[in-house]
Amino acid sequence: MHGGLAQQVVEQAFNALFNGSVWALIAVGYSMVYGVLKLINFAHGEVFMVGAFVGYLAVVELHWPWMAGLGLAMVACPLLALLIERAAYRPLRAAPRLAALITAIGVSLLLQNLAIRIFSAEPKGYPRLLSDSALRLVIIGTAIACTVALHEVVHRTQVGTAIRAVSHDREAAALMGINVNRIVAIAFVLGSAAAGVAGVLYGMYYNVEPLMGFRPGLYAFVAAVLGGIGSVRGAAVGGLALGILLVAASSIAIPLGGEAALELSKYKTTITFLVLTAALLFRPAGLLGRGQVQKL
Amino acid sequence: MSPFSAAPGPGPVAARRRPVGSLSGSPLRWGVLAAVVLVALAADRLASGWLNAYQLHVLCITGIAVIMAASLNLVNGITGQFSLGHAGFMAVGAYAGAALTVKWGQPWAIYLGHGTPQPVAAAASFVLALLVAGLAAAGVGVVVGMPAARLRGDYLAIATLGFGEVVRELLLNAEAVGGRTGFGGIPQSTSLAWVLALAALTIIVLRNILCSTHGRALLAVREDESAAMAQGIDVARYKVGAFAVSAFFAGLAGCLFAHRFCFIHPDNFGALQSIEIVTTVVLGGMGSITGSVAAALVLGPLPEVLKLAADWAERASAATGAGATAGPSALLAAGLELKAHPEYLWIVYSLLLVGMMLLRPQGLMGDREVSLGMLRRLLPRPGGGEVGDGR
Repeated sequence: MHGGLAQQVVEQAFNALFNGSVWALIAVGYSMVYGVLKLINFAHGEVFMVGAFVGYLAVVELHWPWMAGLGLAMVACPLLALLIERAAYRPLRAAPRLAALITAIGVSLLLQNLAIRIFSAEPKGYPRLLSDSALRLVIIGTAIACTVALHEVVHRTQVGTAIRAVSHDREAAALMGINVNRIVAIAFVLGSAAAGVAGVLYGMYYNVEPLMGFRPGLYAFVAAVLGGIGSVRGAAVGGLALGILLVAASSIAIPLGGEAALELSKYKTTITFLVLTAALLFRPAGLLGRGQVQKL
Repeated sequence: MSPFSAAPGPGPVAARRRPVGSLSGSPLRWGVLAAVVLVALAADRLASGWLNAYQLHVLCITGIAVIMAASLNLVNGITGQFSLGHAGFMAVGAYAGAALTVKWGQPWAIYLGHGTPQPVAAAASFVLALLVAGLAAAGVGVVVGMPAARLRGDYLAIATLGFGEVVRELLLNAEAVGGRTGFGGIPQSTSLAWVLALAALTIIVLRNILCSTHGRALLAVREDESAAMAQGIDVARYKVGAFAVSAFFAGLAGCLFAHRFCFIHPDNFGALQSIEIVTTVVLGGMGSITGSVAAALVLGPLPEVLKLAADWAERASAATGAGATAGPSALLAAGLELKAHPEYLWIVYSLLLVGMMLLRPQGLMGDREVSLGMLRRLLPRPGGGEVGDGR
């Protein structure tokens, strides 16, 4: 059993990287939207779910190759996100932030239940197109490519400069002639495209079901906060950190005497939210973030 | 909107508001309490004569929904925080109360002596279970409230949502109280009288808090934390206090729930349940206790009413046969659709949430209350008539 220790360590590291990649891909979307709007887009997990279903329909019903399904999800998810932003968030931009948050919860609930109505709550599987390890490699590679690309967009292009300006101070950015509505829309598009990619790949690895967005959405949010919400690099680092943490915690069993042991693998949600609370209390700007003074 | 808009500070407002319709004098208070119990018992008697078991059950569920919505309003509406984990407190109360009754109910009853009549012993045991449930939930409320007091709106929402999920996960792994298989064998101690009495108690206590200095302080925290702090209000303490009181009543509701259904499972208290309670509070108006009560009276029995409608449609279509579509066939089709897809209920909830925020973000009632005071305000008040409260 101990002979394969090195192999086990490699396998677990692979697992951490894989989970972290999925969360990072979703976390990027939370981060982009939070950056420009200071809004937690509760419906982001559901955009991820819709992406998974779009890919599923393309592959299973239309018999497209999975790469094309991925592309379709990358188009469909941004369209959905734009619709949500236009119909549910933009009218409330001047309202108290809680109003937008409640709307976001409502949109999330609506998408979940529409999906249940249309596709039923039964989990559906993609046909097996790639082996598990190949798929995991694809997910890790895609996550790296996407986060690097988004980071470059945000830091090296004119649009990226505008995004950073809006996120720094929306009013000042508007005064400088930046079209804030357009920038907000671009942030939604970029974030939801990443979520769509994550949805298809996650769906190919596990299953597709209407409630699949809830848990990865929460974990990704924790990852975004952990890394420093509002930055692409933070999302990647946070996803990876959370992946490593949970994989490490899962291998720990605290002996309670006799046969009994407290297996931490059963308490992933608890660990995740302890991390979130600790991060919010002690390092609210995230692992990479700089502290900000709360202005009155 | 602000209760301070017409008055210089919380002191005078509190001083002047207190006598208006408040239950001053302790004999009167006990009298009100006794009246509540008597009315609840009488209603229970009458209802059990008129209604069948199912209808009583729906009334009990509605009463529990009232307690949950009104107590969440203390945090979400009056204090202006945003908790998405209220079902977690309910779970704590449900499991604490049920564990007490199931595991230690009998040993404890022995202390009453053998001559005690059975109903009295049962009632005493249930009261103890309710107290333990409420206090356990309040204790957890303090633990959750302390970090929560330092988090801002949307972060608080996620953290409390996480709290609810954590409670669920811990209960799923707690083999001592059934874990994944659920916790059964709970005696059905919750009658309509209990539900009515505790719902009334919840409303009275919350109303008195709202009308007291403490209530004004909570409102001040909601309106402007920094200004409240500058007034000498201990913001963090009031937030934790609001969480604790709100959790106490959620614990009571959980205990009532457990002793009504006789079987509880961690999934009874998930994120969806928390969102359901939030929907009720949002619909009724954040800050309005009567609004929450009214919304709970509508949304509480809604699932059961929809189920009844769906069952009726199924029976009606079976009776008329597949070919003959007599009567309002569109309605019938809607009923059948509902029968096949219970998720429509949640679609309605989500549309309510989004629609309310877009069209009437303050909720049906805003933060106004329906009360005798509302009528009294229309009449000239001796001495203090000019002090409106800006509503």
